[in-house]
Amino acid sequence: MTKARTILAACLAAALLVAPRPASARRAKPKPVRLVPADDVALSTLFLIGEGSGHPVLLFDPRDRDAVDRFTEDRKSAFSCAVREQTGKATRGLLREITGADCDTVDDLTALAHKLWPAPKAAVVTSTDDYPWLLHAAAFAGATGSALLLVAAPAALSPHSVEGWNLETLYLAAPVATAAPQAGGLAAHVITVEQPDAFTTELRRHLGLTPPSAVVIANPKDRGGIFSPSSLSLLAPLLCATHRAPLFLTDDSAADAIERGASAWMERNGLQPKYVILVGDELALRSHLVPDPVLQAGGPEARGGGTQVRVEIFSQIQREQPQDYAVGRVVAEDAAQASATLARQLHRHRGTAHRRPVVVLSNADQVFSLGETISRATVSELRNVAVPVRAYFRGEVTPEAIQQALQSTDLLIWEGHARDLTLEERGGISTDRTPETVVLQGCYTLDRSDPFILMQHGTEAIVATSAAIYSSSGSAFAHALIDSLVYGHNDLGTAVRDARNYLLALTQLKRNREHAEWNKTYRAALAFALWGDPTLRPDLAAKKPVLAPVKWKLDDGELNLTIPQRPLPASAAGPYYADPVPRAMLGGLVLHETDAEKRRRLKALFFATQPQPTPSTACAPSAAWDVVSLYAPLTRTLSVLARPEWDRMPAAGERGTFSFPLVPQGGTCRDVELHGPPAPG
Amino acid sequence: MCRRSRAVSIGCLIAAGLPLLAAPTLAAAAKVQRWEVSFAVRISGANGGPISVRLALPVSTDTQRVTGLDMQTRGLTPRLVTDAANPHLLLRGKLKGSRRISVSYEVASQRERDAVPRIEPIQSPTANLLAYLTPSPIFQSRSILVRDFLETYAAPKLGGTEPHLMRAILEATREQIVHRSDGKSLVLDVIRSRRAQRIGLERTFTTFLRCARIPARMVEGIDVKHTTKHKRVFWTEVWAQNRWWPVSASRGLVGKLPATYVALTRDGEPILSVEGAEKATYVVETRHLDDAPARTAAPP
Repeated sequence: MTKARTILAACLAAALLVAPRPASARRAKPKPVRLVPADDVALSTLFLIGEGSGHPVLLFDPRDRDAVDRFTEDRKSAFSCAVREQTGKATRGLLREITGADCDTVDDLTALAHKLWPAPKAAVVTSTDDYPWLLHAAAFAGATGSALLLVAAPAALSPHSVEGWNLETLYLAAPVATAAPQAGGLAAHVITVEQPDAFTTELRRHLGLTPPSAVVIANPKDRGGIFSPSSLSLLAPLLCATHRAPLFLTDDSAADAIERGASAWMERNGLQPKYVILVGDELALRSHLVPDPVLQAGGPEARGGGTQVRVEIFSQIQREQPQDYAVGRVVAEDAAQASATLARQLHRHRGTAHRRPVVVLSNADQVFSLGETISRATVSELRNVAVPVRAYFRGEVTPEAIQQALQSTDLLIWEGHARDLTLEERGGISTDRTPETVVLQGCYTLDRSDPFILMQHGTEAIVATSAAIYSSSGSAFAHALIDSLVYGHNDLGTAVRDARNYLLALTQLKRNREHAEWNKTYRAALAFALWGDPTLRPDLAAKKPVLAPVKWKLDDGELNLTIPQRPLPASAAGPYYADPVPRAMLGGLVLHETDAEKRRRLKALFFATQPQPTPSTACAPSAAWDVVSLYAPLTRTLSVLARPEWDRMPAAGERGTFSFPLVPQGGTCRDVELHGPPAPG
Repeated sequence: MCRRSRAVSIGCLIAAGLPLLAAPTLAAAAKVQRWEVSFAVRISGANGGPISVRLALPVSTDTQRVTGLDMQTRGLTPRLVTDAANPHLLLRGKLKGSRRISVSYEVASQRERDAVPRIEPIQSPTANLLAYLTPSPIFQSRSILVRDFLETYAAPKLGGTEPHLMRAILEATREQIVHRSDGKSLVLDVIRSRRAQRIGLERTFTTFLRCARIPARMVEGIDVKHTTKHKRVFWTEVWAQNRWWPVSASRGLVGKLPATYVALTRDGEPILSVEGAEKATYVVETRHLDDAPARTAAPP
């Protein structure tokens, strides 16, 4: 009976450790919060992977005592804390003040491992003195539900270390490999891990038929530095545990080196992830620096003095290829703040009774009529799927509206000139709470202090830019992002990828049609990035569309596009208006035709991203269509952007069903001109 | 005696005990320069409604003493705001069209006498210093660009046995950012382009210091010897040993600023602002007084 209970407990513990945590996980009661000194790598790591998936583990930095209050706001959480003999007096004092009791003092890391993993099937042993190997071992232990044993030296491993455990497998990481002779009897199998790749292989074997959908990349050197020792790599094992993902460590912060190293590692190990999770700031994992394409083409230097665009790692867009992976970057000023962000993500306590409206704040400076027109169409799209929205435009965007928005929504979309939403004019932070997801569609919005302050106060994901962007391209991105979230039901990483690929396709379309300013759109495609876990899903609860949206269907070697009859309510701002059907795309292409009020109409486009096993190109249904195809080979997805010339299909009435034949990538489309425009379906 | 008989004089009020300009005594040993400073302010575009004009006044410090405030406000009601950090004059009333007003005072100033001590980061700042460590829209001290710059250019200068953080940041700023009259003025624009006007250089330097946890504030003032109409100058003040010390990234000065620099505002507060009218502009005129009799601060 006792044994059965032990097994049951072990299974439950393993399930807690390895089960993926959906971002929208909700629980009725706040869970107890564990506080651990952030500067104690061994203790932090053990608690993060041993308990972090089950309840919040906050790394505590005595310089930011308020972080605990910010995290526990609205919660009535119970606290506990753990320290070691070497923990400083000041830290102990602050922890006692917060928890109301003395912390547990951990004298023996082995004993702690036995508490955290009462009955593991496997254990991983490594040294406390080798940080990269500690991360590798912890990531593997977290992803497989194995126990983690941290020892000061190989000689410290003894039968006592595993006493009470019935281990099938004991993994010895390279720093303790010399303990292999004495480890022989400690488990049924003892495996010495000489190279980090062996952990990846073992994880793949452990996961069996369910290959990892994500990989985690970090730089252990991020603990160095004087001004920015973010130490975010400390959080990488928790992300590996959450996603059951393998870990790649780089000691080179250059983007090309990271991509080369990680790609070779994925290929060696047969990894085909959908998600790439970067754990590190711009110093640890640098983005590509790409010359500003507008400037390169002889255009003006961007406002704000930027001559380069920081392009996220694994984008491919700077090579004019579609972004393949859904990429997100876990960023904070330090590991303590990042631990709070991840704890919020994993253990969010949110009522289900009342879903808060999305808030859109657009064109506060009243200078972007074209962008505002697209913003208004985005709001109509949200309403079409019954997502509650509060939208503020122009003079409605007051400091009070911004403050109200920060506190009252879970998804905030800012469109317009960059502005610090959280900072008061004379310094100081104007808000206690911030939305879970924030889209900052403006120039250089990732460069400002705001993203870090938003993260510090509760935001889990930010979609923003690293360059100056033009309003119509920026608003087109936001429109495509929302499309992917509410109609495609995608996570944030995929939605950002799709929206960037839409801008890339739009760039190519404009260039093919000899638009002079295609490089402005290209700059926007390069500049957007996601800070946060790419698997996060904003809780929008989109319902069945009120008005039928555009539909794409892959059928017998053809992509069939059905354009419905009824458009969304018209959107207008300044001299522009748009009346697209649901799921049509906009992009700053303006027609010469005008309405009764002599406003200029925005051209509606059609865009889809579909799984497609073989590299393919979509052909135009007729000569009245311009089509751009982007094939992403790693995730095997085909993105298609189609632009109709309705004047050449007057009978179609801007609706109908149109077939886009697929041919192998590089193949030739049949001469559609011979067949003429099709009749509307 | 008030110099202009029809002017509203606050000099009398000051002498009567208002603390604003009641200055500490300047050190007798150091050379003191005395100047008369006159602001000619033009308010325009008022629509007949109430207006409010705010003009920054110098604060008296260890190195500058201000006396004899005098003004012609021409129908606007003056109020002296004796905020210790940001003293200013508020002029209120109703106005239609344009109006000129003038404000003048005497400044006695001398160079900083003491050498700037070692400037260290503050790990546990007191409440009154927090404002000078936190970011603001002007001082984007939590930007990734700021930390990237410091890590890339200042950190390598800290390898010695006694690294001096403030000087390393000052050197990195001056080496990497070029002063250009057509340069940028906003911090992040300066870091991206590496070209800055003097105001941009000081803002950026102040921001770098805040990021490094050194309390810092930017000062805007006038150089009474300048021949330009605004005579604007900028520098930074850093906190150490319970007082502020002047340092200028745009001039390359540590401590000894010219005695002709008069501090007017801090942390981006404008010297002149107006509400209720389209705009307010000003011209500053100065006159060396060392050969002239001192303006009295006492009532007649």
